[in-house]
Amino acid sequence: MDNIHIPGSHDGYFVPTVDFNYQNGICEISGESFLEETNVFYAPLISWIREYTKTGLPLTFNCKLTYFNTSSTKSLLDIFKILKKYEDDGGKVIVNWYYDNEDLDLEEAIQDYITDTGLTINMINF
Amino acid sequence: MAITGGEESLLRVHCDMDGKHGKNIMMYKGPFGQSAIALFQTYCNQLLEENFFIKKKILSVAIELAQNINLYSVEKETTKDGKIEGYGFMSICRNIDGYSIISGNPAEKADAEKLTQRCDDINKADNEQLHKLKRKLWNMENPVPESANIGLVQSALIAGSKINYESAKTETGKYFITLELEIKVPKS
Repeated sequence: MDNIHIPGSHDGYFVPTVDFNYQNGICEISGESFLEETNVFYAPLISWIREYTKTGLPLTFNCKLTYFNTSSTKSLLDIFKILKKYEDDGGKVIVNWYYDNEDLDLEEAIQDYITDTGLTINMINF
Repeated sequence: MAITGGEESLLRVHCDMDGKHGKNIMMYKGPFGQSAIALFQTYCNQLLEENFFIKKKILSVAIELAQNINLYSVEKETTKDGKIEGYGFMSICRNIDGYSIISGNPAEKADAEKLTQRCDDINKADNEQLHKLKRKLWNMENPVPESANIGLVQSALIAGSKINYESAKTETGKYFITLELEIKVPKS
């Protein structure tokens, strides 16, 4: 599997920075996510995670998104559902969400993911 | 390009702003694509004198309303690179309690009814019910036509306010819909 690296940008739309690393099993997404074609952007990321879960190797998903619009919300939900299924099937999964704990809107959004998927998301103040 | 049939409503709302909604500090009328979002981003991040979290709330609501206009406006504009963008207006007003973010666009009757029904559903719900509604909507099989509705739910959650709306039939037979969300700023 090839690693994925996408540099983030702010050009009207907000493209998050993405680093998915097959060698160490760490997937990281950071910045802000508001895209012109959300599905086109997230589809290869979701496919990559699906493929990775076939290896049986441990996976750490570090999310450092500070803003994401509702279209991105759905794609993130798809990722978390895949991770939850992987965990239920015996895969080792760690999900960390780094956030400013004064950001109550973001905190509520993360809680929605936890409630909806049943996935453990470690909420880490930074 | 003019907003046919909606202009009167637009001007009426605009005139109200120095009274009911507070002082109008930003007004944009045009297509709601990438350049509009860039404008709001610049405005919120560089010109608003508020803390990061208030700016983020305002920008988040503005983006969701912008997407709403882009999706539902019957007035469309084609950009130089061939993108079709919905046409409408957005205004940010400052008042004694915080900010009002107001959007307006002409819409088909069916879309206007769908939006106002969603606003009614949102306005009846408490915070916990809104979170449940959001999770219900994002788990729907075909989320694209509903994405604006999730956006309205998310906007209400972020703003912590009801959605004020007006839907008025225009002379062209379309409906001009205005939405308003208020963001309160804690007094220091």
